[in-house]
Amino acid sequence: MNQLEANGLGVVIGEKTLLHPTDLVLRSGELTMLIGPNGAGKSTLAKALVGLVPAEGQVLVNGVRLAEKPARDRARTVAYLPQGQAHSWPLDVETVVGLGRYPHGQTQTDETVERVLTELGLLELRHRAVTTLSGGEQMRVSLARALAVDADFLVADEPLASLDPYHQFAILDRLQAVARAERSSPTGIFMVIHDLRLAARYADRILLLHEGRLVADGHPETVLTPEHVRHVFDVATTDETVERRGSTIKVALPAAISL
Amino acid sequence: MALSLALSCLLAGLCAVSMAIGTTSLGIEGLVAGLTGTDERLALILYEIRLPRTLLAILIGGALGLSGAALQGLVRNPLASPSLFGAPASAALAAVILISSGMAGALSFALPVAGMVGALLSVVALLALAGRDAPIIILLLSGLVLSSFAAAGTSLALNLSPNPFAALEVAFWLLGSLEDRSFQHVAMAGPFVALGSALLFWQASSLKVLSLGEATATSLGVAVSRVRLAVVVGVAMAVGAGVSVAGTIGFIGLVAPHLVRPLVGYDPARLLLPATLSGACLLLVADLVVRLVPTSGEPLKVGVVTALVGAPFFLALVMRERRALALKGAP
Repeated sequence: MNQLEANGLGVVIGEKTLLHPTDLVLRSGELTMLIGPNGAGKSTLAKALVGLVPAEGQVLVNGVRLAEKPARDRARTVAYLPQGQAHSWPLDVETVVGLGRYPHGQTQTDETVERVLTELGLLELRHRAVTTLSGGEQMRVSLARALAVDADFLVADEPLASLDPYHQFAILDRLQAVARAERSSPTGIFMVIHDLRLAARYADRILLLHEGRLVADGHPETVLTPEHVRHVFDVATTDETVERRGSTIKVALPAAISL
Repeated sequence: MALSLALSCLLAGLCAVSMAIGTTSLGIEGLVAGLTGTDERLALILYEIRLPRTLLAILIGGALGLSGAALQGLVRNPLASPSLFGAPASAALAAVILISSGMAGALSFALPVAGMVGALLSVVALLALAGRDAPIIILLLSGLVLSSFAAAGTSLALNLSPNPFAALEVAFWLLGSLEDRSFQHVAMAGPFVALGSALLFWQASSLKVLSLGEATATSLGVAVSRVRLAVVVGVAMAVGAGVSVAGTIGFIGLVAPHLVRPLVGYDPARLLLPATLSGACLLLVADLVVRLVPTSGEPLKVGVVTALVGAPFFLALVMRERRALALKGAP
């Protein structure tokens, strides 16, 4: 089992502290979701985990410092999907997904590319120029590209943004399957998400970030409490029952702006 | 691959035409007689005048096409080109300073070196001025600033030139020409163009991954700052060396990648070789135009021809970008 460990991971830009020193552990086979209001530092934490912002502290994977690994080795260890992936040229879908194989030494369409294209329902779009696709289709292509890396861990910054409800469920089912290793080796997935109901339904573990500090870390039932949600999101809550795989749990979800 | 093959055939054809056409126009018989050495006068024309001129057109046109393709890949914008970013103007300034100060004749190895240093300084200054991940408008404005500085410096050098004939010579040299070049020019520019080009071709797969943006490319294992440095140095070497033997030849770097980009599926890696070949073809054609259009006095300069064709092309490109932006609903 692979383990990614952040020790005292903090980000300070100029005089502003975006992320206070944070400890957390990601494990393969786990779907971990990061929630928090706008400006809480979610994207900063995601980038710091991958090493894309100058950060204090360190990130270890199975005891080895991520920053000390050679670039492609590091890329095969942690894949990253940025928020709002940009596409500079009208490359076709298959080519874009193939770029995910770069850390493995080539960018051709191979078995892995074929597999993720199939799994994300992109076969029909494979020869379309990515810039001509809708926002939701582009999102799925970007996710396919990130999954094609076949890394030990995947850090995805809001992969559900601009997806309709059908595709939100479809993608989360897919990510859950990837984490559980129904196809290949188990992956640890860390994703930023805004929809608390989806988080309650799918997350193995939820991290709650508030003003650059982790204020809760655990099972959805222990994180999505009325106190946490009210305090962090500044909203009134209602208690709701959420269906999960094989169980139901009770969580507090936002109901209205708190008065 | 088929595209590169077709372009190579076109290039070979253009080479033959370039060897045949000039003050003395030759048919196939004349070409054969000259190349095999059976006619000594024709052999002299072909080997001493037309062959170096043709080789330089291929070398410099190819370098410009390749540089444009690599720069467009690096900044991920189809409007990028060496000339819009002030590299040729800066290379020219360095060369002009060297010539007009009398430190070097027009046939000295110091010239391509100065040209490259000038181009390198300008590209480094551009990246420093615009900063990382600069929006294209800032890059273009920074390029304009650098070009203006270089133009001002060149004017100053001409102004202060101790000898009016030297000044005139420099002014004509600046227009860009492949006329009266010898194998010595090929030998001066060749190694630097080759080295710079090799450096650019080496970045092919990184440029492809860069199409996803710098953050994603970094996460995929691309050393983005190293790629940026390699492209900057490669472009400076190739363009700088080219400018210092042929003067400033604009727009090939902008036009050549555009002509072939849709044919390679917009892939920045597969674009490099066809862009090189089409750049070489374009400059050969421009140089043929120079030889075929009759003028009463000084012959046309090839830099003038490429600018006359390139500027409207640039206009068309800007109009297309404007339409694309209007469709997206941007201002």
